Amino acid sequence: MRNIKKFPIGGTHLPENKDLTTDRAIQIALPVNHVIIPLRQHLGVPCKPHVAVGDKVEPGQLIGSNTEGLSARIHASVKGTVTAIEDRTMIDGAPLVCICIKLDPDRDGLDQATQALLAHEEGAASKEIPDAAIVIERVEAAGIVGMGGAAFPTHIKLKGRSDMPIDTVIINGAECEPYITTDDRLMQEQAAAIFRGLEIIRQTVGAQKGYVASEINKPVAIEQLQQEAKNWEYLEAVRLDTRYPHGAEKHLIKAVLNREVPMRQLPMAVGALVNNVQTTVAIAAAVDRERPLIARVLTVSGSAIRNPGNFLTPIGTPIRDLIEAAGGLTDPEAIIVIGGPMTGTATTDLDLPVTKSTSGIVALQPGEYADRSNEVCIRCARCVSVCPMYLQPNRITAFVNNHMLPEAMEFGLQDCILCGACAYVCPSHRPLLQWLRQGKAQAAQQGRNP
Amino acid sequence: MSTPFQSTGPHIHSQSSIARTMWTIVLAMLPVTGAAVIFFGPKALYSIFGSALFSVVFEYLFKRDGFSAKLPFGDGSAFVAGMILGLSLAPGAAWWIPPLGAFILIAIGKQVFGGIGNNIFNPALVSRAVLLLGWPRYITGWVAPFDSTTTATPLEGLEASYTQLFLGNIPGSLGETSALAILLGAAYLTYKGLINWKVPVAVVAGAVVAALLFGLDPIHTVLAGSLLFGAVFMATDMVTSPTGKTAHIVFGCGCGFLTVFIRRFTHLPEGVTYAFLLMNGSAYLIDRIGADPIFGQVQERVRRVWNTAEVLGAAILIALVVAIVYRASDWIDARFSDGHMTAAVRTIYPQANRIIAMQSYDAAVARYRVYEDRNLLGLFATVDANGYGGAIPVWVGLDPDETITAVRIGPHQESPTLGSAIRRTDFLARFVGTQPADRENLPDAVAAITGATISSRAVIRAVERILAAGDPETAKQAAAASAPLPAVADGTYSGSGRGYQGPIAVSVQVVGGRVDTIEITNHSDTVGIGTRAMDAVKASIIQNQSLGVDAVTGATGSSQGIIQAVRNALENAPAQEEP
Repeated sequence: MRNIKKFPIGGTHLPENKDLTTDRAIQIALPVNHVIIPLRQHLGVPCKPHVAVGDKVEPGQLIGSNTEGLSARIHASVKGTVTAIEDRTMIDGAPLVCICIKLDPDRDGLDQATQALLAHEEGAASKEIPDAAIVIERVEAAGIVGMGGAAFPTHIKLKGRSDMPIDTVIINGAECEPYITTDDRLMQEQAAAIFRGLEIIRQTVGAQKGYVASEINKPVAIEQLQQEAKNWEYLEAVRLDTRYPHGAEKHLIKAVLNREVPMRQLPMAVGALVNNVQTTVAIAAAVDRERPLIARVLTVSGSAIRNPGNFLTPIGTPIRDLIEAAGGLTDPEAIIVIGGPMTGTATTDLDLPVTKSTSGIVALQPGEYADRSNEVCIRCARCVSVCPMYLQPNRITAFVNNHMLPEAMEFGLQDCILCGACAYVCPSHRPLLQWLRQGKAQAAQQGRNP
Repeated sequence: MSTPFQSTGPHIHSQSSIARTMWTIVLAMLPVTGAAVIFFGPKALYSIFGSALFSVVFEYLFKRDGFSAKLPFGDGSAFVAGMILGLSLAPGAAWWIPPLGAFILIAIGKQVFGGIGNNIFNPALVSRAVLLLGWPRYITGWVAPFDSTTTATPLEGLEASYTQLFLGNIPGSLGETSALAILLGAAYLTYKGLINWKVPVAVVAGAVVAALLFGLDPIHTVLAGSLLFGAVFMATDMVTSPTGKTAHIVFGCGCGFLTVFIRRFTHLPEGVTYAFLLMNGSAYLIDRIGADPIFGQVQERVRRVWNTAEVLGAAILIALVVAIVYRASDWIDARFSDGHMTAAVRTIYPQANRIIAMQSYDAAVARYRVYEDRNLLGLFATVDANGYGGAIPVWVGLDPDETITAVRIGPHQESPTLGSAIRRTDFLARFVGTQPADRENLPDAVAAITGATISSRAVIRAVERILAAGDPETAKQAAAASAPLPAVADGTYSGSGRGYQGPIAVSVQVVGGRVDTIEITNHSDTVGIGTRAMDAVKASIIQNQSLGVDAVTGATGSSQGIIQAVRNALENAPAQEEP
């Protein structure tokens, strides 16, 4: 087919399983009686709470911020009472201060507040876009972070750097993780909001072109994008081949623009800026309607979920409530993964809250869960052939396991993007991704205490 | 509540496994197995599957884990290695070769390194190499397809058309003969994503480059022997090849090049076994040096391209310099020889303007090709004959078949009478038409000139040497025979030499210009080995009328002592007067 773009080397094809939820419209799922809002949902330092136990809060009320260091503001997502401000163990196993809010029995307006994210109006497209400074201010006020998973504060990204002018903005709709259809549904339902958000970003950073890129396994979404693109002079929809990990920022740039971001540099170095689909929707909501980011869309799917679907839910909703909203588990032994099945984390704690960067919840039956028998490496080099960073995972992990960190780094340990393609294809079922994570953690620690 | 963290991803898996990988390779080898059965009969099944099953049995004996009711053949790696070994055996291999080969394969090729994944060398090739060294006759029983008559392989010089080589109805190892079947297997493996097609192509490319460099037919080089089988099933062996993409391709090129190099420059008919083993040994090194640039190493990639260009440029430059030096030395040689030899060569070939030295197995004999421009006129050879008054240059013209066309005598120190005698055209004409094969009869065919016996005999001997110089064996004999005895008058002379343990004294009787008897008058060497040696050397001197005889092995001291003593005796004698 014509005009299908892809990155040149590596990657693999995954069983997508997106058909479970691709035609399920986004519906609202509300928390049952409380939300847990972590004070750090972004890359950077935690926020300081602005409320105390017993305070009443309204949806959209600022409850946390930090002016020192990199951070993004936190808002209350529901109407209720603060019942606790305490350490909770998060998905990464580390404790984090969370604000627990008990919902008011009176739930009026909760639907509306949650729905605000997607309340894009027809006429918004013709509205004048404010100055860059105002846009950045509104984005900062809304507490927007990268909603694809990285959670980098978006206002910092939009400020950019004067020495690295940006000429192209790409909206990342690749969504290469299996099961997850969050961006897919948003592109189907909110194409106008996405293009409006993209135009705002384009003008703010002063870029000439803007693209929305999606993999061809989402034909309805692409159709919608192409239709919408006709309304915009500088914006375009781009089709990508279906290949994991097209959603990785640097690979998306390579595929769409054929520019290679130099090692350990930001996409700005090649004049590109990449934003997630939902982040773009949130930017449109923040700039056009001054709505803070207090809800997000995520997919609840997997063979062990009774009624898989795409849900719009307030930030802080416990995943237990979402699983219930999706009809519950068909198998009590099911393994719950927060995030996609490739890069997500499996957990047994269903009280963990949805954060700004939670893209999905996948429940797998034990039988289909990856077997990690960890047999001997037969040097088949399949991990090398799928590595999108052109690394040799077999050798790097061998170095990591033998405490040879300098050699591991020489072979590119720190360039690994932790996509997990190597572990997915390994015929010896070696937990390569775990070892790579360990190695990166050790390398980071060594960097701190040389 | 325990820690919420359970594990990181990926939580799904491609369902690939070692066993699945191995059985896919087995499937890919079925076409070649089929071809082997068609061409060499059902006995091939024993060699192929026998080797495979024996390997599995030995693997089980070495290492039980990995075997289960679900996986009765273990992970299948032993089966694959055994099958490759079976396919590399000759159709006429003895019945006990498969079990023996399988034992070597598992024990030495695999388990001593720690089993699957840890062996440096391809186990099947290790086994094959050991079998080749230890029992060459039993594994190289080459037979013709269909009728099982013993024959040579195409690599050993059998004529075979490209079609035959492609289809495989030629003698050879069970799995190597049919390029078609091998390509089917390769296509299946590529389809299954188990091999990178670039690697076999690199092997073939390396072989083709080598073939072109060494002047072989590239198509024949690729199709004959097990190069193609090795390219598809051995160069792509996972454990023993580099894991880097570029490194693997470099590895493939090396396998191909080295195979052809070994075929061309060693006495081994087939190079795959040793070439691939050598490359296996360097796999890690290639991986280390040839690690691919990482995504985002844009500068690095540019630098690599430059480096590669530099290396290639340097290689081309060196090749050019070598070629120029080679041509120039040829030219200088020709010029130099021309200046030195012109007069001599032109006595026979007046129109000659270029001569090029050719191989001579006798250091005293110089041989040349003589050209007029690019046109070969014939050969020219020269040697100094041992005349009565000193060296006599003898110049001989030969046609390209080495038949004598003319003999000339160069400037010499012989007395005018002797000189004119050997220059007589009727004497020199007697040599014309003689071929190297007639060398032995030369003294009879060309009788010595009465009155100039020594000089004319010296010329005859010189021509004999020239005729012998084209062949290493005869040249050695001729050189030995023509270290002539000094010419002395008849009489009895005594001399002495130094033996192994003390002086040797001899009494030499010369009759009719020939050494007639040699009597050892005194010696102190070992009775037995020493005396036997002295007797042998004595007889040899008399028979050959020469001191250029070989010493007796084990008694060199005694042998050289007696030669020295005889020389001493003849040197003491008054020179013979020419009548």
